[in-house]
Amino acid sequence: MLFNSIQFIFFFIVVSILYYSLRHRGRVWLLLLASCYFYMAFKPVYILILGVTVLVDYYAAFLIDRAEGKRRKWWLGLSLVANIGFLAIFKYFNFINANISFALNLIGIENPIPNYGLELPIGLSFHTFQAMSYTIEVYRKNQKPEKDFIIYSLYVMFYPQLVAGPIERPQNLLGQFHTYFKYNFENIKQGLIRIAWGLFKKVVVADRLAIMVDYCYNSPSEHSGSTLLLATIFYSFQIYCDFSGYSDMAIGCARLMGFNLMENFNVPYISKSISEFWSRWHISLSTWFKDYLYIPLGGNRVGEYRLYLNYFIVFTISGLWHGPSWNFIIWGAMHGIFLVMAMYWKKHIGFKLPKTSLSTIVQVVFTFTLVTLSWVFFRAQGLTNALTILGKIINFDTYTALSSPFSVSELWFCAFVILVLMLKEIYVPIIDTSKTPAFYVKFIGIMVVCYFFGVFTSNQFIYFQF
Amino acid sequence: MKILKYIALVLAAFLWLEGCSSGLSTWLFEHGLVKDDYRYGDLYRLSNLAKFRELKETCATPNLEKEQGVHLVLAGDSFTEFGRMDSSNFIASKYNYIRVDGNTDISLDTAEFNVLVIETVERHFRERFTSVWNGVNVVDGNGSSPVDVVKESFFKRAVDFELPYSTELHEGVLFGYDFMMTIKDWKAALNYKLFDRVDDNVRLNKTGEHLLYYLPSEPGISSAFDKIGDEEIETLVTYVNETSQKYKARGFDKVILSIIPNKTSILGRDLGNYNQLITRVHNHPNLSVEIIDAFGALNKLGDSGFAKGDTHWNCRGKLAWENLLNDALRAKVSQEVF
Repeated sequence: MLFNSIQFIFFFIVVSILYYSLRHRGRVWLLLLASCYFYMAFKPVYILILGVTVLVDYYAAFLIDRAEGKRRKWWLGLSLVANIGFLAIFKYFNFINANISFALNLIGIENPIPNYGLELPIGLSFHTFQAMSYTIEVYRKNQKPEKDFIIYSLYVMFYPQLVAGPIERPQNLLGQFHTYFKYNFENIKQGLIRIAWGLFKKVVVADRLAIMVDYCYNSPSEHSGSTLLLATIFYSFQIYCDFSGYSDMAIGCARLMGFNLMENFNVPYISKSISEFWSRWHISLSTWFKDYLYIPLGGNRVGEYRLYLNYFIVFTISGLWHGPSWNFIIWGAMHGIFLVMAMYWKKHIGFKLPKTSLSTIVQVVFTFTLVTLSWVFFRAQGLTNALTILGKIINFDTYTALSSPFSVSELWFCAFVILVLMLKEIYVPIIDTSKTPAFYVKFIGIMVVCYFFGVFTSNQFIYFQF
Repeated sequence: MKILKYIALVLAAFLWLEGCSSGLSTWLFEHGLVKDDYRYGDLYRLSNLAKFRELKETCATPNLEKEQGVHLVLAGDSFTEFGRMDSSNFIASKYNYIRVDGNTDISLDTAEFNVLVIETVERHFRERFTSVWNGVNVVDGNGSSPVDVVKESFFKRAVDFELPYSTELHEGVLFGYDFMMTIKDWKAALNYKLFDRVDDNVRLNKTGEHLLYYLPSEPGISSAFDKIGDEEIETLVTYVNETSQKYKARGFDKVILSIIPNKTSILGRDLGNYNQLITRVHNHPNLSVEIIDAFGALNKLGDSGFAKGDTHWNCRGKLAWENLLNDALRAKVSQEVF
């Protein structure tokens, strides 16, 4: 069930009204059942995988908590293997097997293991990572095991953030499920305005830009360098609005019921460096990798070159997390390399730009350029296409006339909404809802704009595939 | 306040349920509580351009004298489906409609004059005849019955299990009212005037007078503007001939082909270089199958043969085709008599 679907509107209204009509225990059950239905609306059978993950981690947490010494590590290991096992089977098996086949073919051996055609359960990487953070935090003694199975299940399956995050931590979310949130109109207003803004990002910005992006990226060899450059810039904003729009809607849905989910984005395209970009982009994932991979690898308490290697490993794995393809690995590795280069520059060359507005603009533009060029690997279908696109963008000789599925007025409209978006994100990060009449005007205004200028072509959210 | 809350709950639950239950939406439709959202045509439904909003006509039922002993099997698509045509439109005393894209058992009485008409819209003609067409199984016994569907394994059924929700059904039920359609019209007009953008599945011809169906995958074999080599025409004709021979050998006295032109091929030729698929097939020297020249008839009628907001013909276009088919059936009967 997509947030931008008609079905969701009615599902959400029914669940929210029922939620505020029930006592605490009823609410917990309601949210769990609603979450099951929400997930099953995509592909019912995959609820079983989610169920097994929940069961394994629920019991693993108790085993970890009760065990001492090395046994704790063993139980944690088993829980992680189970979680990563699902990811390996459903997400990475075919990719690994195809690469083994390729390697074996080089030495003239045929791989006897065939690929299989199982569909990737939606949002698998998100809820698996959320489940893993729970057992790791129990292992680290930062979190007591949750005794209430229904509440634990809800922690993994809470529908607003089940399929595309934010990837929550047990310390933030589990406790909230034990709380009875009284009806508060402020929560309703804040939730609704956040949902409306998220919807605006998705249907007015992301899905309209997607028309141009799809047009170019589906057949890159047919388009000029200038067209591909424009499509790539549009993709930077498309993916931002698509994903942060989803996060806004998730946070808004939860807020309406009284829950506080963590923020996932903080205007990433005004970052002055790649490291700053990662502190503003997909914050719940980057902090997950920081807490559960970067720090166990030694964090910054290691030597210089080991530190560089650690960053490179973390970012490459982060790329692989997004999808089983070399494109994602290269995308992640590129960010790792950018970061390492920046750190090396800072440490050994040490040239600093003066702190002026101009230098800030230069840094922001430079960071945006690096991020945008790396998106080519993220979006292109296959390595060959990615290299074709990059080749054409870099080669100015290919800059012939712009071809576009947009009329001139639609191109200007895209530029205008991007400008509006950025100005709002920078200067009005939170829309004020304190005055009720003003809230109604803002909410209805945004929804009217969404309806009349939105593109509703059942486009899935990009991050659902992960 | 509490009452309001529960009214909202019941209303939202009911509106949600409409998308989950085809039974409920059918009941609402039958009782006139919701309206058929196709009533202004399929293209209008997609585009919501008010200029093309025109209620579909109800065609008069002709009073035809039946020719006894003529059995017409019409393998057709949406142009000839029930609701648009039935036995009353033809002179044949016995009539079977089957889907041209399906596979159906038909039993024939050899004492009758059995005619098979294969009707297909132009955009699907090439895909239908990539080999010998195989939509009818001539069997012994009475009547026609669909071929048994192969039973899927329990595992496959479990994996493919779907929750009962249909977006199309839900949208149809919720937005089928004139008021909702007017709001959709405003949105469509805004996007068309500001961005020159209409729904991805439709196109307007150059002058903006005609609303046409457009597959996003075009150009492809369904497009009227997709280049076709002579070799492919030759192959198509060969398969059409072989189809005719096959069904004549199985008991049909006559096999007739009718390719219904895409609306684009008649009213939207200014959008590209029309590949002349139909006339090239019709005029091919090796074609040995009788044809009903729907292209000629509809071309003569021009825009008066098609519904304004629909891909299909209107009553005039339909009647022109029915007359051609009935004439062909009468001619057959006369030949038999002599």
